[in-house]
Amino acid sequence: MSGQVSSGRLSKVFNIAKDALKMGLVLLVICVIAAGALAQVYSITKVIIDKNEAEAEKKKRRDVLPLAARFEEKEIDGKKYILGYDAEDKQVGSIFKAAPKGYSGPIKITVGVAPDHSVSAVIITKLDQTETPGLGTNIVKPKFLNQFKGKKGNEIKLKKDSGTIDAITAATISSRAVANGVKAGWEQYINDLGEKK
Amino acid sequence: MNKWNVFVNGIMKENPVLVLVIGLCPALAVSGSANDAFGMGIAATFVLIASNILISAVRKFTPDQIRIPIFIVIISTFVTIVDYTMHAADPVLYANLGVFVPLIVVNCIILGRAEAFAYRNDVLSSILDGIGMGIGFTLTLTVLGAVREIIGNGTITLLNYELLNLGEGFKPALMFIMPPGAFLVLGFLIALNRLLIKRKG
Repeated sequence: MSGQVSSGRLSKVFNIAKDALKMGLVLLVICVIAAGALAQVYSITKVIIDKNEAEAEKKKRRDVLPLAARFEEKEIDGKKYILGYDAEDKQVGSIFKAAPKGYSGPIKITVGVAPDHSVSAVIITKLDQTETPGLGTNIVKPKFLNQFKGKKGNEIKLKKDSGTIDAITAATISSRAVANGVKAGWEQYINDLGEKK
Repeated sequence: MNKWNVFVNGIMKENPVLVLVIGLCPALAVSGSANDAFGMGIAATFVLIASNILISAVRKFTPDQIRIPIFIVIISTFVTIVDYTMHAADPVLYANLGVFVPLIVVNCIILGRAEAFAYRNDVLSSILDGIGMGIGFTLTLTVLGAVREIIGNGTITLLNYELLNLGEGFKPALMFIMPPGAFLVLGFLIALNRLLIKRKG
C-alpha cells in the first residue's frame, strides 16, 4: 500500500516537471523567434535612422551658415566649434552648440556666428526640444529665432531681463532658456575664438 | 457572432475609448494635434492587428498558465518593431509621441483584445476584431486631436499637411491643447457617441 502511495506521488511530481518543461519550452521558442525578428528589423532601421540624423545635422549646418562651402571641426578646451569656409577658403563664420535646460528637458540649439562675432542665425528644430506643445514649442518658429540675428553680448537677453529679445507669450521659461543658452555659448565662443582676428 | 458584427463592433457600439473607456492614457496624452493622434492610432492599430493574428494562431499551443507572459512577449515585439520603424520613417512624429510609442505595450486595448478575443477565436475573426477596434481607436483619437487642435491652436494637420489654418487673427484657447482640454473634449465625444447609439436604437 505504501508503494502505491509513493508511486502516485512520484507520477504527480513527474507530471508537474513535465508541465513546467513544456511551458518553459513554449516560452523559449516564442522568445527566440521574437528576438530574431527584432534583430532583423533593428539592423534594417538602424542604417536609416543614422542616415536621417547625419542629414539633419548637415542641413542644420547649411541653414546656419548658408555661405559656407565646407566645414571644419575644431575643439578648444573640450568645447566643439565648427568653422565654415566658402569656396575661396575664406572663413564665413563659425557654429557652436548649446543645450540649456528648458521647461521640460534640454533644448539643443545650433548657433551661427558671423565673422564680426555677432550672432548670424539660431536654429532649433522640432526634434531638438521637448517643450510644452503649443506654448514652449513656439521657440522653433522663425519669428522668435530671427530676433537673435546680429545681436551681441548683453543684447542677447529677454526684454524682461533688460535685453532685446521678445519672449513668447506664456512661454517665458522656454524663451529665457534659449536666450541665456545662446548668450552663455556666445560668451564662451568670444573667450575661445574671439581675440584673434 | 457573425463576422460583420465583429468588425463594426469596435467602431461604435464597443468603441474602446468611448464605450469601454480603455486606452485612455495615450488618448489623452498625444491628442494635442490631429497629426500626432492619427500617428498614435495607426501605430496602435498595427500592433493590435499583428498581435491578434499571432496570439490567435498560437492559442492551441499556449499553456493556459503562461498565456499572459506569452501575450506580453508577442505584443512587445510588435511595439518595438513599430518603434524602430517610426524612428526611421518619421522622426518628427516619433519625437512628438515620445515615450508613448514604447508605452503601447501596456495599452489596455491590445492586451484586453488578446485576452478577451484573440485567445478564444479563430485567426480571421481576430483580424477583423483588430481592424475594427483599431479603426475605432484611430478615429476617436483623430477626432479628439482635430477638435483640440482647431480650438487650441487654430490649425488642423494630418499626415504632416496643414489642412486648415484659421490664421493670425484667431485667438486660440490654449487650454484645449493642455491636459484639461483632453478631458473636456473626450467627455463631449462620449456623450455624442451615446446619442448616436441611442438614435440608432
